[in-house]
Amino acid sequence: MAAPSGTAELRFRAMGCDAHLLLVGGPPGLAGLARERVEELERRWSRFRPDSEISRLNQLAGVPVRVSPATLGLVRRALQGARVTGGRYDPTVLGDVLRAGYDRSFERLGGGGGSSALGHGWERVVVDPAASAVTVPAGVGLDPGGIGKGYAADLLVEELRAAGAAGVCVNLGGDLRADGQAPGGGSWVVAVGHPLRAAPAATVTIERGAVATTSRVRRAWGPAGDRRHHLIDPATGRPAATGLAAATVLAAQGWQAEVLAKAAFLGGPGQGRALLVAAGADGLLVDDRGCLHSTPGFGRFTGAGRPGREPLEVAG
Amino acid sequence: MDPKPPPAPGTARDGTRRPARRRRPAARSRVVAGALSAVLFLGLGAGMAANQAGTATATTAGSSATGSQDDGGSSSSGWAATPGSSSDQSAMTGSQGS
Repeated sequence: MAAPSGTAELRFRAMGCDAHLLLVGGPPGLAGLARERVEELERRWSRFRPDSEISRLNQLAGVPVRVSPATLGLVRRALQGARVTGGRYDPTVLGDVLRAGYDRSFERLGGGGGSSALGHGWERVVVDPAASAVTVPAGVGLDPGGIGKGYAADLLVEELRAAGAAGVCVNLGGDLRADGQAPGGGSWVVAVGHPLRAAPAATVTIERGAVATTSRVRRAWGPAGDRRHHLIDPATGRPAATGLAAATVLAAQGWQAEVLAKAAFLGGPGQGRALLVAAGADGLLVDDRGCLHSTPGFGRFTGAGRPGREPLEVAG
Repeated sequence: MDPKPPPAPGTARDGTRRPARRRRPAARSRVVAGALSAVLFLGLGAGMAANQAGTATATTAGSSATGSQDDGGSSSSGWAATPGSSSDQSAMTGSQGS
């Protein structure tokens, strides 16, 4: 559907997913610059690019490596996410991901498992802000994963707002952040996809903040009976089976929403909700039967009783 | 009367050359330690290239983003999104997950 007048809209592929940008106001050409920025961040953070900063950190494990401010910010947030979630979100499950067979971009995945000797160890990752350097311990693999998309959305929104946009929404494959004036002057409405059904699980409205959904359904591979997905449980080192098919979280920032979505998914319906409440966030969990489990505060976002607020489109 | 010009570096006031100052072993050790502790640089650019409006804000916005939120602390306060109002017009996008 065409964007409202005064709004620039852009869709493209980046970071292995569909990117969707909505911009209200701002100088001409801002959408193009935003796309370039997303692509630049992908070059820095992709584990599938041997020359990315994340790849270099892993190649030079055991040695302090100087990184850009954006990458330093990403690693710091990843470590903070691990601390806040008690390690449920673990940015050092790269070895597990590789052993599960996710050793190349998802579009090129085969069906089998892989091999890796890398282990966990987010507690031993060292960040030196003064030197803008990160040290990944030897034998540990850093894989920030989806937090890269969430944090990229955060950076884009803040930078585009600073550049003059009256409102911005950046959606990177389900990790979205919105701020400012939505097209038409109101809030932002987001359709939350249902992992097992065609219709959305919910429609949420935010004035500002972030929404992130993580699902075992979409990024899965392997033959029937040995299906694998990318959501690794650090406790077992294997794709998680928690009774959930997807978790959606609303938080202030994109990286927070992504970290909590992953941790809530790994916690399952009960512990997942408790974790979100403890973090001060809200969310919606969809179990393996398709049933919905929400936090007590989730209803503030769903627009219940608001006539005429049907979603225009469901991306994904 | 013009003041006497200062002697050239490494020269005494009487014009004779001073013996070169010898670096002490401890100073050499510090130099070596400094070289060993120097971090590797990826060569990907410490800052963001700044030639256009959107990109020029990258470093600044990135820095501000790393202010209160970038301390690596364990606090999870301020993690809540802000609900929208019911009378708003809206744009639409979707969160389907990956």
